[in-house]
Amino acid sequence: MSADRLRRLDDGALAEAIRATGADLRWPATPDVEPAVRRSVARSRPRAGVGPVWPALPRRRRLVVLLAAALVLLGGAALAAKLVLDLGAVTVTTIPGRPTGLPTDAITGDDFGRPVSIKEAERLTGLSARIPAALGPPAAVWAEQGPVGFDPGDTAPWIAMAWDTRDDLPPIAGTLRGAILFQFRGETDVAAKVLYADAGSIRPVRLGTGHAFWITGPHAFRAIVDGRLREYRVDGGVLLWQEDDETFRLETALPLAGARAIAETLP
Amino acid sequence: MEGRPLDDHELVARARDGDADAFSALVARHQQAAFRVAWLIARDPGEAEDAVQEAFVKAWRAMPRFRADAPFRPWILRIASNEARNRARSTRRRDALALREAAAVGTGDAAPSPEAAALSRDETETLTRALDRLPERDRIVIAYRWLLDLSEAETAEILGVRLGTVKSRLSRALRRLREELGDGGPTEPEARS
Repeated sequence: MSADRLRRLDDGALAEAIRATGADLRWPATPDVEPAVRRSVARSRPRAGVGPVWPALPRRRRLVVLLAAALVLLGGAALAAKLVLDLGAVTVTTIPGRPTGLPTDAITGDDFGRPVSIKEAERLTGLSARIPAALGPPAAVWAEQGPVGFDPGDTAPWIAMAWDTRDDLPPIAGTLRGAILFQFRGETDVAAKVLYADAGSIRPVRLGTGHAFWITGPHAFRAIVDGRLREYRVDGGVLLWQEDDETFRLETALPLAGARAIAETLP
Repeated sequence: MEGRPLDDHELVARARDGDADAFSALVARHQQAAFRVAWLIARDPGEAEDAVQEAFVKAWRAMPRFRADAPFRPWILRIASNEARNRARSTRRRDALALREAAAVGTGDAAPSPEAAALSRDETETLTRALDRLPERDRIVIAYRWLLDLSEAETAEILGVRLGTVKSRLSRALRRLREELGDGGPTEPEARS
């Protein structure tokens, strides 16, 4: 029996058998995407540095436009809202009904810009990165001191940290990340969550000696990242809480108890 | 661009400065690998094509933030992989693969490799069928490492995990592959010295 022979191969021989199979697979013909990519590329230049490439607009006006775009999106959701919760830098809006037209991209960090070290993140933002002892050093860190308001001096620092999936951290849907922690400072709204009442829920839970909010169900996460308003789909459970003037958002695929156990190990 | 073909680092340096021709050369060079990476996840050539196209457009936009000394291939393959994963999830396309249908040894146009010639057609079909049945995490790590013949370091980069994690996942995935080879049902893996 062929299966029996294959099962008896040691790891090296089985790997070679797979490699040989790959070399002879009839792969689907590779489409030439270069012309289509070239057309898209011709319409946009690479974005240099932080912030969108908006030609000829003075900086102050760019900030106004950016904020206006954010308000349209955030406010549009709020009009039909049953509940709006403003938790520091993060607003959570609950809308009646089921989700329609959710974004497709999960948060992976790939579009957050250049990863930085913890020290760089702290130097860039002035924040002291809070790393849960239960997770250990993150696999990747991003940080930003982004402009968000009418005043050029109105900035909102945040740090995002990601941990790879491992035995005690199942993958977050659509990613190979096991946990993603955002740390925001201030009251300026730089992120918004839009939740649909028939598909998800938000409820207060205890966290240590304080409180947090536990969000479940598919929802949208909108944040100003690298000068742009970005939208992501979130399926996993999210724990959201405040400590002093900082707001934390922890996303995992764990149940509440697991997420809370991680959050409670923040230094 | 005439004379000696530019290597990836040179093309990346030019693309970072806005040279669309240099970026097109990178697209032409890496689109096949990107497409296969995406197809292994999306399991649909059309979805994989869309994912690859979007991946390159995203890469172009992010070029100024890409480290000039970093290898381009694992980065673009990772973006393509994530794009395909997002699309597979959003369209709920989880059709039975694919790999078994693509098994071409003994039937394709190209002559089989010497290694493959050592496998009977029946064995190749058995192997691809077992690979198709693996959970995505196991299937993908095996497929990237050996079907696509990527290095362990590249596989780690694309999956966004550490090198040691790739090694342990490969070991576990081979164990599960043996289980799948056991008449399609779980069996105890053979003891290895």
